[in-house]
Amino acid sequence: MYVPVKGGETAIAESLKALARNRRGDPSVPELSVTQIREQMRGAVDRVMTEGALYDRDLAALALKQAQGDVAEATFLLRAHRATLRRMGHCEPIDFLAMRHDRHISATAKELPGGQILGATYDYTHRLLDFSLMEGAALLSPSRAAGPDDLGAAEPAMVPAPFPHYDHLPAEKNGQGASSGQEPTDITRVPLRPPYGGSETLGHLVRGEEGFLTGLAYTRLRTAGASHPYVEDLSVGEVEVFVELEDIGFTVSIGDVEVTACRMVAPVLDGVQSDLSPGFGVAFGANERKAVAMAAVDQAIKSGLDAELVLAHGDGVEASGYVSHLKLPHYSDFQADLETIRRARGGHD
Amino acid sequence: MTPRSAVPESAPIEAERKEWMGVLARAPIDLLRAAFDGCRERERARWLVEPEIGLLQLRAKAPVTGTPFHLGEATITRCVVDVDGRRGYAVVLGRDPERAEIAAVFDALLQEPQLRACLAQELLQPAKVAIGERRRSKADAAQATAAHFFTAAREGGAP
Repeated sequence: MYVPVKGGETAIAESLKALARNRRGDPSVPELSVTQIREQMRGAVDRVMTEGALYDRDLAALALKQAQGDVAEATFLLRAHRATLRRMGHCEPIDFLAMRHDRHISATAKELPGGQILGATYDYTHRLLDFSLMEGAALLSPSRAAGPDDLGAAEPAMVPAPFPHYDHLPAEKNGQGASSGQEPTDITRVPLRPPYGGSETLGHLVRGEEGFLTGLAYTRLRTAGASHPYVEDLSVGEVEVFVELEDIGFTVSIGDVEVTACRMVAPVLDGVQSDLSPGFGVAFGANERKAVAMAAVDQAIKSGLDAELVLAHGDGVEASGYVSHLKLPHYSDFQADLETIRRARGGHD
Repeated sequence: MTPRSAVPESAPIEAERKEWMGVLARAPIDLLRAAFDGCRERERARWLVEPEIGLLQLRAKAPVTGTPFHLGEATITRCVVDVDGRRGYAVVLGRDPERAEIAAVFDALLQEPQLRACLAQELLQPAKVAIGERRRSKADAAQATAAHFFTAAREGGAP
């Protein structure tokens, strides 16, 4: 129970000023621009877009600047802004197979058409701090990194071929009951209630908190025994967004969004029913930890992981909101609890 | 998707129009701006619906299972103009009223046969080249990182 408290207006106003000062840091250091954050802090920007469930790099960068780089806070800001905008329609279902790959790898197939495109990845870095990135260090070691201009000598790209199906599984096999129709469940308008169909499961997982999903995937992997999931396909790249213009009666392409998509399979051993169970993960921008963790969790839910545990607790905004509420004044609750404790002790004496 | 401000038009140029709308949505903004500034016909354009920013629900289908789901939303900007009775529409990704305005005006102008020939050469052609170049350079950069893995044979025969 919360009891309204009065007063503190001046203190709150001063607290907001203190926050603004903290955000700015040392005024003798040049201020970060939103464009710089958008271009050079892409990992954070993409994560905020994904968990904020709003694809807009500028707004995500602005949220990060305002939140001093606090990803959870920035996600909250983006979600709140999303709620002020009018929904104007929906796009045609995005086709992940038509992606223009910047990265495309598989852990199950050595031979991928076009090769395993490593793209820009941390996978082969040594995880050593690179001191040449420190301010001023550029003067000591000029032109250390090869820019895109140096790629002139690279082999010409193949025409991006449509991604071939080399699925081991018959399609539609795991369609999830009522939700596998044409209309996806709009998780922003339909409250989360069991039974959890495939559509709301995926919808909630996409915006789910990355750390929570990574942790769940890790728990699952450590306790899965013999059943180990495999990344069948991991791709990063641009997909086109098509929208139907009702007034003029046809569908047009309105731009591209960058996404990361991961298809996963896990062996399920059950006599003659033995099979591969699929999982799917996706995130805005380049964010493969999220996509892989989501795919692992999606697969785990299909294999019996409690959907309620995942879906009801996976939203970062809700989770941090609930944890933060503990800071609100609970004076009366606490007094009541103290009283109960005293009485209980008195009764036993 | 677009505001219901007009009756559906007959669209004999549908395929062409689809293509130029896709080009106008992606063309480098400098190129669009330069063409727009040098275009006298734009003065005849009047707003039917001024640029407004809103949300587009992004829908997707999971591979393998085919489950449709809500991927999230994206900001979009849309507007409608009228130029001499021809309606120009624009819906573009992002919060970008400038691009939406330019795209809508050109969408109207491109429906005029004489102007179309001229604009196709002066605007659409270079825009398509620029979009193609950007895609090609991204694809080249990706292809430069293509690896062909092979499994190394163990020395000394059987493990």
